[in-house]
Parts: sequence; C-alpha cells; structure tokens
Amino acid sequence: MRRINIAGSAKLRAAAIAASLLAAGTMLTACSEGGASAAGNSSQSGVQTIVPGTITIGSCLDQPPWGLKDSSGNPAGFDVDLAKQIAQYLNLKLETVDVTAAARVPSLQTGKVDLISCSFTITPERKQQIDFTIPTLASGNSLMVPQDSSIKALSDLDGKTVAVNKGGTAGPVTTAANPKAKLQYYESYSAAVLALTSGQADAVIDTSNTLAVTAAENPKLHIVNDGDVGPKVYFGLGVPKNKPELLKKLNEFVQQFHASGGDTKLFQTWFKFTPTYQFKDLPTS
Amino acid sequence: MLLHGPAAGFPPAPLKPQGCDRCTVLFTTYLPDFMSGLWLTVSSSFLSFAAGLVLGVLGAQARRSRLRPLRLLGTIYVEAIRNTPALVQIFIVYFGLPVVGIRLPAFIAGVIALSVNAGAYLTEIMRTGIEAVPPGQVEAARTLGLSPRDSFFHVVLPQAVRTVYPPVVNEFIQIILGSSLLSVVSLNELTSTAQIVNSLTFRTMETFGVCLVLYLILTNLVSLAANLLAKAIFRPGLQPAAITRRRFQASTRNLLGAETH
Repeated sequence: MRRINIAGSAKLRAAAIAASLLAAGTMLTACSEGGASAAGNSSQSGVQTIVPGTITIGSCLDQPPWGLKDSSGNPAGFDVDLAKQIAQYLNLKLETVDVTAAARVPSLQTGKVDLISCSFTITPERKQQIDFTIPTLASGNSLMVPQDSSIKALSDLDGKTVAVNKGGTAGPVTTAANPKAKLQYYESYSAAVLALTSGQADAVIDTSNTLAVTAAENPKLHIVNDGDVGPKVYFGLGVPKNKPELLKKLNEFVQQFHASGGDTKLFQTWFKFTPTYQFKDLPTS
Repeated sequence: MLLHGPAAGFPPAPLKPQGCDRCTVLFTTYLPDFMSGLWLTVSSSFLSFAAGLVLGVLGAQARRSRLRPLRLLGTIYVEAIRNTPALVQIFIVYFGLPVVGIRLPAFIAGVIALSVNAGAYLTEIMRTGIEAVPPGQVEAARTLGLSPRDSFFHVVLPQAVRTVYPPVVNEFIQIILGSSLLSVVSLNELTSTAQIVNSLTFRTMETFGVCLVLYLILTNLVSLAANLLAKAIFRPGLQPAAITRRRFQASTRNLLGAETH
C-alpha cells in the first residue's frame, strides 16, 4: 500500500497542525457553548443561574427575624423562607449565602448571588445598578430608645447620637428627619443595637418591623414614631441587570405570593403580630 | 456622619452625571469626607503609636526586671494581647467597658485599644533589641567605671536603637493599617468613610481604589520619613554599603598597597 506523505515539507506540516488545532478549538467552543446553554435551560423554569440547577440567594443572617441562624446554625428567617418559596416555585435547589447589608449590591454586580432576599429597600439609586421585582413589602422606619430615655420625638434628637446600619438607608433617612442628629455607623444591625444597649448611642433608627421585634424581646427598649420616620419605602427582591427571564419569573412569584395571602401568613410566623400597613396598596408594576 | 457630602433627602437624589462622572464624582462630592476620614486615621495611628512606644519601653523594663511580680505582669500583658484578635480587643474596650460603667467615645476607645495592642508587640521588640546588645559591652562599660545608669544610656541604648529601628517602623505601619479596624466601632476613619461613600454611590471599584491609594501614600510617606531620620541619626548607616565591584577592587587594592608601601 502506498504511504501517502501528506505533510511533505515543514511549512505544510505546521499549517496542518495549525488547521487541526483551529478546528479542535472551534469544536470545543461550540461544544461548551451548547453545553452551557443546555445546562442553563435544563432547569424546568428556564432561568439561567450561576450554578445550573441551583438558585443562589443572598440573605442577611444578622438581622432577625428577616435573617438569622437557628440553633443548629442553619439559615432561617422571613427572607430565608421567602427564598425557599422562590426556589420551590422555580423548581431549583436553594443555596443560601450570608451577605452584609453593604455587600448586597456588589454581590449582585459581581455574580456572587442570583438574587438578594434581604429587606432590600427599592431606591432610584440602587435601580441604576441592579433591577428590583415588584414590591414584596412596604416598610417604614421607626425610632427605638431605652425605656428611660428623654427622647420622645424626632425633634428631641438634636445633638443626640443615632446608631444606624452602614449599608442600609437609615443614615440618609435620619439626616433628613433631623439634620442635627449625630450618626454612628455600624457594620450590622446587631452592632447598632449593642451600641444602644451599652449606652454608646442614644437611639437606633431602622425599619419598623425589625425594631418591633427587638423591642418586644428586650423590655428595656421601646419604640417611638412607629413606621413614621421618613416616608414609607418598599422592599423588593434584587436581581442583577440584564436578567429579564429571571425578573419575569420572580415578578410572577411575588404576584401569587400576595394573591394567595402567603405574605400575611409568613409575616405572622416571623414577626408574631398581624401586619397593618405592610401589604396594603403595594404597586403591582 | 458624613460632614460635607450631600445630606441626601430621602430617597437619595441620583448623582447627576458631570462629564467624566465616574472619576469626578468621588473627587468633587466626597473629597472632604475622605480627607476627614484620612485625618482620623492619621491622628488615631500617631497617638496609638506614641502611647504604644511608652507602653513598649515600660513593658520591656518589666520583663527584664529583677522583681518576679513585674516580670509576671509583663509576660501576662504580652501573651494576652498577642494571642487574641485586635478586633476583639477593640470590641471589649468600646462595647464591653460600659458594662462596668466606663463609657468611652469611639476615638478614645479606639486609641486605647490600639495602644495597648501595639504596646505588647513593641515590648517584645524593645526587649529583644536590648538583649541583643552583647553582654560584653555592659561588662566593658562597667569595667571602665561607668555607672549602671550611664552604661545603659550611653552604651546599651544606642546599640539597641539600631536593632529595633526597622521593626518599630514596621509596627507603626501595622498600626496605620490596623486603624481600619476602628471602622467597626463607628469611628469614621478612612475605611469606614469608603464603605459609607460606597453604600451611597455604589461605585465600589473607584471608592475602594481611592481608599487604597490614600493608605499607600500615607504608609509610603511614613517609610520615607523613617529612612530620612535613620540617615540623619545613625552613623554608620543602618544598611551596610552595597559591595559593588569598584568598592571590592578598591578595598583589595588598599590591602595590597599596604604591603608594597
């Protein structure tokens, strides 16, 4: 049998090798692209997530009862249960990631989580960086002080120190409510409460639901201005920009969450009181 | 509290784009806040370093003392501080002391915690510096008739300072970087300011980039000043001159020259 000398010269040999590498590269790319899109679409709901088959949801586990760690160290809380319901609705496995308030937007932008379920206030500024679903909850801010405090109204905060959470909206809300108040920023809500109980701060301003639970558990603290510090805000689920499929599915979830009354039930489970204004008149778009 | 940034009515007004808005927003709107944060970093670090030096000298003397209780006190101080996280120490001073009735503002609590922390490391540095001076030096000094006090201040200390100078400068830089921990007890130094500006603007890379550059400038200035000071007070210099080929040939020429002359 005659041997066919395909690559007769060095140049031809090099060209042959280059051509075969190019072909292999193109095949591999096509394979991986096809593979990725196949994996992305393999979830029944058709949304692409960071880890195929799993939805990675960031919650703040230092802010009971929104997010906390139960006695066995597992994530629990209102936002975590909401995440569980979302995963069930989308037919995906749930992976909960602990995030701080300040890390919510960055972790969406850098692709560390698929969505954020963490008492996330919808603001126009955040909307420039990420997308929100329709509101899950309405919330107002409250002022919390020790029982024997002389502070009875927002105007009493002149020159007093107010402990707030660094990554949240409480800072600007406080300054708007009383520019003469002195702000102390802490890494977490629990640190702000610690500042109040240890006397390092005169008051704490944060969302009314969170404060209501803390005041119920700690008889030395009480609430002034329930839900009335600054205008009411809306919480939503945060997703990165350019994820229309995921956003659409999540909006559908939130709509049925409200329609079915699951919102009131979940709230009562975690906050132990009946919601009054929280689910009334929420915008549906 | 942000001193000069927008007081921000709620909801916060979106930042208006102004030309190259990614670059200018931090430098036009928030520069005063970064500067006051930098000032708090500088002032807390310098004060902590000064107090830490005093504690270091006292601690070194305690650990080298003839009295056992003093030696024990020194050892407990060093071991307790070096084997616990600085963050926990800061928490105890700021959040823990109020339980026993001592409530300190964030700056004072932070400086106390950092000084105590630095003092432990500086104690060890000073102690090894003093002990590194050969005992023969002290013996010779005493033999020559110098009193114990004179032999310490005129013979031991100058040599000890040469040994401890680089580690002490290093500890100063560690204090500057460690002052970023004070952000967790509501002191608005540089790191905390960057976090707050970031949560208002969400320009994460730019904000922390500026923060990083400011720390770099600060630590490099400190190193530069330390080098200049060392050149001025140490004769001969701390670093031996590099053995370049020209110097080597010159020195061998000298040796050979001495023989033929």
